[in-house]
Amino acid sequence: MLKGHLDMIVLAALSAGPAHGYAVIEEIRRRSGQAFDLPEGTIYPALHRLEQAGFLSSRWVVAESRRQRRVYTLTRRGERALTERRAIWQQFCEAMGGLLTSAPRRGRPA
Amino acid sequence: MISEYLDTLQAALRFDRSLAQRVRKEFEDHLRQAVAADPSEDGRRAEERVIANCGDPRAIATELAIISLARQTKRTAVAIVLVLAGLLLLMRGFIAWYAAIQWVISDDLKPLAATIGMFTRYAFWTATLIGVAAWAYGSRHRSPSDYAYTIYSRHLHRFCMLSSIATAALLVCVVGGGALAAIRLASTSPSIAFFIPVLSVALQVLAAGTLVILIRTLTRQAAFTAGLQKA
Repeated sequence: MLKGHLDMIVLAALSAGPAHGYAVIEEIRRRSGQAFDLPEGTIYPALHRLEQAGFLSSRWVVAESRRQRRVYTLTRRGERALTERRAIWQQFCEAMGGLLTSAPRRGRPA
Repeated sequence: MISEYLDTLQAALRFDRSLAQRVRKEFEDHLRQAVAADPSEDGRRAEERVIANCGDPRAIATELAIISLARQTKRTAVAIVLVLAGLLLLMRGFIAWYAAIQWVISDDLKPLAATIGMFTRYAFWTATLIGVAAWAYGSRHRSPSDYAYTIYSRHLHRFCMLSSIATAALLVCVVGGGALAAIRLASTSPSIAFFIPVLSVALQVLAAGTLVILIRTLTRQAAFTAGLQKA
């Protein structure tokens, strides 16, 4: 189930600011209260796919460890996509909430 | 252990050297950072845990290969349309130039030139129709995810078929254009103006050759990805 929403999760994690793959995973863990603990390697295909779709841009930087690091940034298109997906998710949650919390009707069926 | 993991990942993506190197660097930074953040004091244990958390390198490589394949498909689709547009401009320019410098074909070669010209025109419009269809078809699909690969591979197969037919028609057109240029050159005395049709034919051959290389790369990459998917 989580995999189906991975793109939205990654976009949301990057809305806090540019980050590299490891930091994105940390951000997902932190903001989900450790609930989303993905296999770490799965984040990279999602990052590459989102970059290809124009939702992210990326560049190499040199980290403190002197290693090269690929940092991803949300593009305007990515921000718009995230806003749209947030709205759809909100509608879904409200509809699901209404469905699950409404009291069952009693009485004989017509 | 990390080196072995990175070697497996890089080897699985060897069909695209720049992608393989980028992925290796990204994963190396990730794994080293994860090991450094691991609370365990036993380095080997930390590496084992980090690698286990990362997932199967071949499965990751398969997903990345499919994304790369989708990018290559779109690149090829755009290249087909650009080559066709370039060829059309070149042919129009060529005809205008022949008219401007009044190069005429000798009477005995006129029937042959007419036949070749007809074949070249038909080949060009066939290439255009099928090429535009290939572009529309290739641009239609978004990046597939691994679970949809079987559907995507069918789409890819159709795209490769359309692109190959368009390129074959384009090659006929280029050969026809070359033959027409040769007939015109044979009908006139050598001059510096010879350079223009020769350059034009060379450009056409280069453009068609680029398309052949792109389609070949795409089919090889598709075969490689299918192999990874099955493994």
